[in-house]
Order: sequence, then C-alpha cells, then structure tokens
Amino acid sequence: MTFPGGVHAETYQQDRALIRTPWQWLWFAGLIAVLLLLPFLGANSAVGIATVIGITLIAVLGLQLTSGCAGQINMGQSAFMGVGAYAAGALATNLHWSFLLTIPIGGISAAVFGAVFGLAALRIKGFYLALTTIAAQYIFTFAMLKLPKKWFGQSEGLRLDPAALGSFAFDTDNRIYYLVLAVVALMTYGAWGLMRSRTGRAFIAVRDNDNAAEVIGINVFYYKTLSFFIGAFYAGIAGALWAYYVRYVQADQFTLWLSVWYVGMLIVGGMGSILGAIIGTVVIRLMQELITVVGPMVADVLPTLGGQFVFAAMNMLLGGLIILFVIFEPRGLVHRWNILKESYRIWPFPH
Amino acid sequence: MKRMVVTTVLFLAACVLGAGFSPAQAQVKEYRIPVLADFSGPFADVMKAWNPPRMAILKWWSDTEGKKLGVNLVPKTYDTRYDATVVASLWPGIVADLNPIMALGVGGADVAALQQRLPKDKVPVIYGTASYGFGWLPNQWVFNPRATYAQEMLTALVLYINQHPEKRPVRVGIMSAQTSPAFVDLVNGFTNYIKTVLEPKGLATVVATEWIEVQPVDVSAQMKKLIDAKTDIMSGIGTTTMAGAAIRAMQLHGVNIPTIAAPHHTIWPLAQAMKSYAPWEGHMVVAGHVSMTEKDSKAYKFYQLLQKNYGLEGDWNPISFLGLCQGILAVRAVEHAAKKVGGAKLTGQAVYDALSSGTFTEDELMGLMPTLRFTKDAPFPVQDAMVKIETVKDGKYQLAAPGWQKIPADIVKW
Repeated sequence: MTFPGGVHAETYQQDRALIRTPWQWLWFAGLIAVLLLLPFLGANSAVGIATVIGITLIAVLGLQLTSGCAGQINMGQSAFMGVGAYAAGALATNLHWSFLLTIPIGGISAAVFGAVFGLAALRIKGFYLALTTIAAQYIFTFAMLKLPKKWFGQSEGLRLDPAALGSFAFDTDNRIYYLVLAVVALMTYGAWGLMRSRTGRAFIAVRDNDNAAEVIGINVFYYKTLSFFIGAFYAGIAGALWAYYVRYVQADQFTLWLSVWYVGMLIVGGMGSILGAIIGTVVIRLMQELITVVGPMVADVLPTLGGQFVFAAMNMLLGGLIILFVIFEPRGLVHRWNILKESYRIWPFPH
Repeated sequence: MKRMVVTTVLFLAACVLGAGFSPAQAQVKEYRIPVLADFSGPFADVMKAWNPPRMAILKWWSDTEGKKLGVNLVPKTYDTRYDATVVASLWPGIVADLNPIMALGVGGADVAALQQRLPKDKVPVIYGTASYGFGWLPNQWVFNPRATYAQEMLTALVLYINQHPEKRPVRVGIMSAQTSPAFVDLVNGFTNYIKTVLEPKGLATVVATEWIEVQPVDVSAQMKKLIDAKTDIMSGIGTTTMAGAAIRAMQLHGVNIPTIAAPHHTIWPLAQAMKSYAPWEGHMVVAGHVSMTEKDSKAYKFYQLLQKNYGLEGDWNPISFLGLCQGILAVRAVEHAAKKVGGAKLTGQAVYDALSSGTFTEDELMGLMPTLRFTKDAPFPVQDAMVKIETVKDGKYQLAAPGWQKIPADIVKW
C-alpha cells in the first residue's frame, strides 16, 4: 500500500495499525459520526435501509471469508442465515433467553451446520461444491418444516418479542438500528483482524493453490472446514439479527435467490477483500433501494408508461449495471477504489 | 352608513361564495395509500392483471363515496420484488413519509416482514388472496377477504362427496410440495379435516400423499402412485406449473382424476394455454369470490364501469378478481371508518377497528364477494364464510353448484 510522502512505520504496532494517518482518523471519525447520527440526520427511510444493509453486510462478510478469501464456493449462505434466525428465535420464544445469548448461539448453530458442508470441500471444489451448498438450502427448508412444532413452529414460523436489556426494549427502528450497527462494527473488525492473522493467510494460501498450501504445511482440510464454520457463523449472526428486526421467522424468508444476491454483492464489490464486501453490499442494496424509490416517481410523472413497464425497466437497469460492473471492472469496485486512492496520493506523479 | 352597507354586502357575498364554491374540495382530505406490488419477482406475470383493478377501485371510490365523506385515497406503488428484505427496509420510510391509514399487500413476503410491527405502526394491511392456517390468529393487523385455501377446497370436496354418494368413502389423493410453509399448511388443513370429521362419518379418506417440486417438470411417477391407490379426487396443487404437470401425467397414464384447486392455478390459466377446457372435464376450482362465468352479475357490471370510466385495462378473470376483492374490501373498510370517526380524522386504528369486527355486505362489496363478517379471532371471515365452485361440464366452464356455497362450520384451526 502506498502512503503519502513522510508516512513511515517506525514500530511494528504502527505497521500493523489499520488507521495510520491523521486524515484517515478524520475520515473514520466522520464515518462513525454519520452512522451514529443517521437517525437524527435523515428520514426514517434511511434508518430502515441502513438496518437491512447492516444485516446483509454481516452475511456477505461471512461469504467473503468463505468464498472470497478461502476460495470455497458457497451458495447456501441464506440457509445458514436461516439456521441462525431459527436457533435464536427458538431460544428466545421457548426459553426466553436474552438476545445477548441467543444471537451468539444463533451464530454457532449456523457455524456447525455450515461446517458440515465444509467437510465436502476436501474432496470436491468449484461447481460440485456449489451444488453441495445449494443442497443446504433445501435441507434447511425441509428441516425447519419438520422439526418439532413447539420449538420451531413448522409452517407457522416463530414470532419473537423485541430484543431487550432489562426494561429497555429494542422495539423501535432507531433502537434496532443501533443494535445492528454495534454488531456490524464488531463483526467487521473481526473480519479485518481475521484476514490479517495466520488464519487469514492460510485461507489465502488454500484459495490460491490448495496443493501448494498443503506442501508448505497448511492443514487444508482444517482450514477449508474452518472457512465454512466462520462464514456460516457470520450468516447465523445476521440471521439472528434479522429475527429480532422483523420478529417473525419462517423458512420462506431464506431463499436461494438471497444467496445468489450475496454472491452478486461480492463480485461487484471485489472478491477477497473485506472492503470489497462492504462496498458491494452497500452499492447493490442502495441500487435496489434507488430503483424502488425512483420507480414510483417515474410512474407518477409518466403514468402513460404504466407501473408494469416502469418497474420492469428499473430492474433491467439494475441487472444491466451489474453486468457493466463485471465487464469493466471484474476485480470489483474495491480495485477501482484502490486505484483512485493511490492516484490521489501520488498526484501529480503518474508512477 | 353607505360604506357599512357595502362592507356587509361584500362580506355576505364572500360568505356565500366561500360556501358555494368547492365546499367538497375544501373539506376533502387526501390519504396516501402504499400499494405493495411485485413487478419483477415471482408474481411479475400476474401483477399486470392484479394491480390495475385495485388502483381503479381506489380511484372510483374516491370519486364517489370518498367525495361524499371528504376522503381522497391516493395510491403510491412500491415494487418490493416479493422480497421480505426489501419490504423490511422500505417500510419505516413508508410509515414516516406517508403516515398511511392502511396498505395493500401482495402476500407472504410482506406478511413475514411486517406482521409483528403493524400493531405498533397502527397500519392494517389488506391482501387479496385466500388465507393460511398459520395466519389464523387473533388480533392480527393483516387481513384477507377470503378464508384459508384449505377451508375453500374442503368445501369443494364436500360438494363432490354430496354429488357422488356412490363413491363414499371418497378416496382422496394429495399432491403438493413440502418446500414451502404455504403448501404444507394447505395439506395439513385438508388432511386434518378429512381424518377428524369426514373419515369417521365414512364420507372420505386420504389414500395417498405425494410430494412434488413447486415448479415440477414431470410428475408421472407420483401420479402413478395416486392411480394405484384408486384415487377418486385429488387436491394440494398450488401452482400453475404443478397443475400443468399433473394434467400431462394424467394424459400420459390415460386417466382423468378430478382436481380441486384455486381458480387462478388450474383450469382457467391452463385452458388459455391448451386452447380448450376439455382436458379439465369434471375438475373443480373454488374461491370466495364471484365466478368468471357470471357475466350477468352486479360484479361484472361494476367491472365494466371501472373499465369504461376509470381506465381499467385487462380481462375479467381469476387474477383480476384478486385485485378487485382486495380493492373493494379496502375502500369499504375506509368507508366504515370514515362514517364512524369522520373523513378528516381517519387513522390506521380506525380502519383496523372497522375491519377487525366489521360486517361488509355482498351489496357493499359490489357482488364480488359474499357478505364478510370479521371477528377478532381471525384476520379473515370465519363466520358464515362462503365460496363459489366452478367446474368443466361437457367442455364448458360453469358453476358446479348454483350460488354461494357455505364453508363447513366445523372446520377448526389445525
């Protein structure tokens, strides 16, 4: 990474620091301030959108660790999210446990479920592994409709009370937004830390060439399984947060299409980069929201076009933009962002 | 003195003009109604027929009854792609921006995202389809104009049993999918009533249950099992693709086992593709709304009025009925609420109160649906709920029995 002239790491701690310059601190503080003040800055719609972006981001971060960093294709992230939602929901409704317990347990339940599919990664890869993880989607739906009704609700689903700390309930949009924001911050920090650790480097080695990784002493089976475990843990946490946000869990909410969207977010953002997962999630979700907002406006201004045409056109536009991203920047938006940053830092010199 | 007289005359003239000119306009209050739609998700193909009727009804009502009550309902459409995450992220903004007194929904994705928060938001959401057993709960803020699919289909089964006394106990086969709570619920409700009520009376028995995909390509193997079980009639079909695969499988095996399904799933949509009703001889469709065959009805005249005066495009068919039923129940609920609290003081709570314990007569509903009686026990009419049952006889699509058929009152929640 290139830094502005005069910025040198003099200690190991400085070299390891995520934020190294005063400007970076300023930008970071500005971002935190905006996120904290969002409910007071904008309309309520911004809070709803940000909450769903936050929950989605956690799931996509997990997918980034499994697929982008460790190279294990995973098309079952939505199912893993569902396992987390059901586990948290079942414990909250039946045992009335606090969300401080149910959310981590939701994550661990999903992680265990995900690791089972990770076991297959030792023998198969690519499309074959993708097919195995698609099976997770079907197994999840079937299981949730067959497991004991008292615990998992079967076709009725689970209805949750709001997450609460004593008498303080996260029962408004703003309160749940702050809860999601706190968890997103924690999980993002964790993902960044993981990728800078020995485990992260092992993931990258396995992704780049698992035979070579084995030759240099990396336990490929362990790290492949671990990548599924951690990725599904993230999905489980996202699912548990979703459960507390909508307070209703049903198997229909966690579809294969959701998993496909998550993969799309990774591709647009940039595979193998935590920042790429963030950019991809935010950009795709905002584009989805934008067409949902712009659609009614266009339909109001040009009623002769008809809602059917306007909304279909909006979604074609979304699909077209994604295709353009992939064609012109296959390494994802994060690559374009990095080029922009470096160019700015060394300006006016071209090299 | 002269100035005083002139001033008084001018003042009185102003009062008269003020009273005479646009009194209704001055008093009409505009309420923006969020209309959730799916133009780019799984229901995109039917939305073209579903959405225009409900929009036209809002416009018609605002022009007629709404004007008298001082209420103008202005719809605002949101394409949610039938995605719960989109609904969940949109909804806080909708509530803040529109402060709606009600909303019109599409189906399960909205219910999943919203049902727990609606009591706090104080926004009732009205749907157009039949209900599900898992929604049969008290004090809900999501409302359906029709009873559950299982209740509707059981009514058709009872009619079949009564029309075929020689077949008792009627051998019922079920073909459905278990990859979605909706289909599982339908099968659970259907089999529960047969096993607990009809079977002990020697009227019907379930002989086989076959699970297939939601969008199957071929179900001939499963159909063979139903044939081997000597099935008299089958149910559980919940998509047009299932229905298409089932009829192809029957043709392959050279049999014709009557099916019971919803009108927008089997006979009509597939007869359009097959260019004939003949393959559906003896099959039944059932729903708690007017029949497509009734073109001399009040409902059809109302539909023509919407076409002529409110630009409603599209055909008179089971898909457009979903929008018509949804729209008419919504505006009548607003009407009841406005009559109670006043057009200027409408709230979501007032509309909810009007819906949750209201009675909407067949006449009010323009003959599109029977009289609907809501209670707080369920978000759909349970008491005296009725349906119309259609079939194909001698190659002609017609009513299987004249008039509304009462849903058996002894169907209890499963």
